[in-house]
Amino acid sequence: MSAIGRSLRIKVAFIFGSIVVFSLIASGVLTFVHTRGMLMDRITSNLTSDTQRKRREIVQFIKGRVTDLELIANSRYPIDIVNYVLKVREGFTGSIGIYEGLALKAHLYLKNPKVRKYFDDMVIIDAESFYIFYTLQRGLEGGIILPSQYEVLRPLWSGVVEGQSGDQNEATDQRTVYISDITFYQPVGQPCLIIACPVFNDVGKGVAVIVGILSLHHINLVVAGETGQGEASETYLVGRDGLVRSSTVFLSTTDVGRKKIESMALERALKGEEGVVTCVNYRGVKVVTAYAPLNLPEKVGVDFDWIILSEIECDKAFKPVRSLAFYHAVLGIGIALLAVVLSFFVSHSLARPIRFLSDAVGAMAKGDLDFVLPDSERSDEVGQLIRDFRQMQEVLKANTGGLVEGVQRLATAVNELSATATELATGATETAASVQEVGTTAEEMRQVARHSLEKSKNVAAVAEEAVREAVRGREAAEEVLQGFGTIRREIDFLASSVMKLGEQSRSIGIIIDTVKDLADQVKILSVNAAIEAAKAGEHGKGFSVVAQEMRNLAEQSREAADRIKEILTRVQDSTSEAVMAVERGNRAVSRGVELGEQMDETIKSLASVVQETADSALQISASSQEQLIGVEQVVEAMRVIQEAVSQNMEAARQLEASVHDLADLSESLRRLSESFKV
Amino acid sequence: MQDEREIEILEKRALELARISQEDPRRETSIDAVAFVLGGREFALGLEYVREVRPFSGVTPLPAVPRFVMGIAAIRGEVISVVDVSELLGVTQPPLTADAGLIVLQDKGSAMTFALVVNGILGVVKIDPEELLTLSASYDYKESRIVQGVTASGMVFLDGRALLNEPSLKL
Repeated sequence: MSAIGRSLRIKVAFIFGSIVVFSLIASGVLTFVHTRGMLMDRITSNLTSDTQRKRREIVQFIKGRVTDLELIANSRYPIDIVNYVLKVREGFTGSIGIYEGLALKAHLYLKNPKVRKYFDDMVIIDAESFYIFYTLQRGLEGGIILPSQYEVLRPLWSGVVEGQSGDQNEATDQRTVYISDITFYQPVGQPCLIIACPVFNDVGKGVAVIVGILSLHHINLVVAGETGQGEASETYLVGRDGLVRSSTVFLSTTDVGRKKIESMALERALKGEEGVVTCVNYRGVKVVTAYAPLNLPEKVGVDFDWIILSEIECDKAFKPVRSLAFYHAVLGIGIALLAVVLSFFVSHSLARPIRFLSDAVGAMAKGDLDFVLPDSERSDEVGQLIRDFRQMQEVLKANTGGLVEGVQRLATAVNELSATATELATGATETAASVQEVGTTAEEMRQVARHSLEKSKNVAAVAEEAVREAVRGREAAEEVLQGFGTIRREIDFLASSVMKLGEQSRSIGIIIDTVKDLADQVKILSVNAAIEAAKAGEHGKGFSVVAQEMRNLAEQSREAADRIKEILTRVQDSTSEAVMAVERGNRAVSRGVELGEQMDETIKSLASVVQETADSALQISASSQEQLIGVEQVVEAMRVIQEAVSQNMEAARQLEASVHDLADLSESLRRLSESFKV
Repeated sequence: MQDEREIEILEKRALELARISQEDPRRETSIDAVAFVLGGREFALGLEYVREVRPFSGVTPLPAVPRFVMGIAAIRGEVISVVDVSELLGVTQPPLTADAGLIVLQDKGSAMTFALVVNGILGVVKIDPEELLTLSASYDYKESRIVQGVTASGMVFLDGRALLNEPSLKL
């Protein structure tokens, strides 16, 4: 398709040709199919009706021949001949002449074509033994006839004789006529249909059998019918054994009874069907075949049957259709070619100027404005287009020339400008870098100055705080010393109190011991009282109770005294501890006073040193402040300078960028202009 | 109201006291005895043979007397020998303290008098002889005759007369 798509002429020609070819193909196919169908229908109906008709004709023919033979058999002529022959055989010499005359007359009668009609030969055979009395071909002079040539008639003869004997008893005359299938009959020299019939004498006794022989020729005539056997069509009979029973153009008489037919039509007919089918026949040719069984046993009463096959070769039958298709195709190709040629010329006249125009535009696209387009004398739209194009080319050529020159001048100027801008930018960047460094240094300096100022301020503040703390420390030390004095006095008082307490508790102890002694004595006394009471017996009982009570009291007193003694012991222990604690307190206070005095001294000397430090710190702070102010002024100045430099550098960079863009632009312009040929 | 309740309580007490005096005949069987401590063990002696008790106020040792004789002491103008029966009773005499006392024994029949030195006098107790436990083998006193029995509280009840007439204490 790509080859077609490349040329306008070929494209148009292809399209026109395709349309014509496709329409012709469509109409041709439709016509062919339709005609073929119609023809097929016609052939089928023709064949069917033909076959039916022929079937009837064949049956009629056979029936007619049977009737003929029966008529002959029932006439007096055969019996005349029989009588004569019997007389001769017996050697009768009396009035043989009469018999001979009758026999001769009979022979002439039988020989008469009007009498014998289709029979090619007739044979009269003795009913008693298979003795040939007479044959039509040999006449009466034949003398002794050898039965060997007529052996084919024997089954038929025996059939008639046996049927005859049987029939007498049953008093019926059915099946008096016997017909054999087509068999080769030597005296005639070809396959024949043979019909046999009994001959009765005057008293009604079957004395002989008359046999009529119909050669194949007659059958063929009936089968061929009026249409005959043509090149394209063929009608023939086939037995149930599949062997041929009639001859045609393609089947010789020798094939009859020998050649085996195999086709689909025959198979169907053997099944008792009838119809039309397209199949391959015995010659291997594709044919339309009508087939039908003759149903002879039913219609004629014989014990064999034939099948009629009527064929038309497909090639020949459909010849008109095929020639129609052929003419259609030839005509179609011719029309298609014509269409292609016509369209080719038409498109050529359109495409030629377009191609010229295309070449011109292609050249211009490559920058060649000098390309000369031939002038056109056409007055149609194509001519107008070419003229306009030429005009456009002229204008374009003039404009482009001026443009190219300008661009080249511009490129030179821009190059110079670009170099200068680059130098400027580089210088500005260097300056900026230097200023940046100075600025950074100044900033660092400022940071240091600020830091030192802060530190010195902190030192001054700390020093003042220290001075205050020193003053407070001195006051605290004095208070501590005073406090220690008070404590010492209190402790002395406490010591004397504790001493007194100790003495008093000792006195209490003595008293308690006395109480305890008393209690013990009372206890002993109570025991003695109890003893005395016991001795007094019954009278001392009351006293015994008193003694018991006394004893209880003594024990309680003793216990109380013990408890007081215990408490007192504890009091005394506490007192001793208190005395010792007072001792320790006294010593601690003395030590405290000593330390307090030392501390006071130390704090005083510390305060004077701290005061000096504070003074120095204040001086440092003041000078740091001044230094910071100076440095800050420097930093501020540096910052202004840096800003200016930065702006400067930015401008230089922008300038450089712009110049660079300009250079790019001029370069691309220059390249563009170079592509033009002016 | 308060007066009535007080009267009621007092009446109840009076009734209780009366009941105790009724119970007295049952106590007739019990004997009064002096309870004392010797060598960490408690003993009792019937009052029948006890003349008096005294706090121990020292003895005057005598030469050439048996070991159990501690010495002599003057009691109410009478010189009485002081005897240590701890060995006889199978206990070890601990050092004497301020609680130590003397129990003066006297048999009016045999006119035998001496004082026992003890670690402490507990007082007068009532002992029911019927409730005394018979002596078991665990008591290792030499002369079981001296020991009459043991109370339920483990106190050893001694026979005063047997002690006074103890042959081993004869001089």
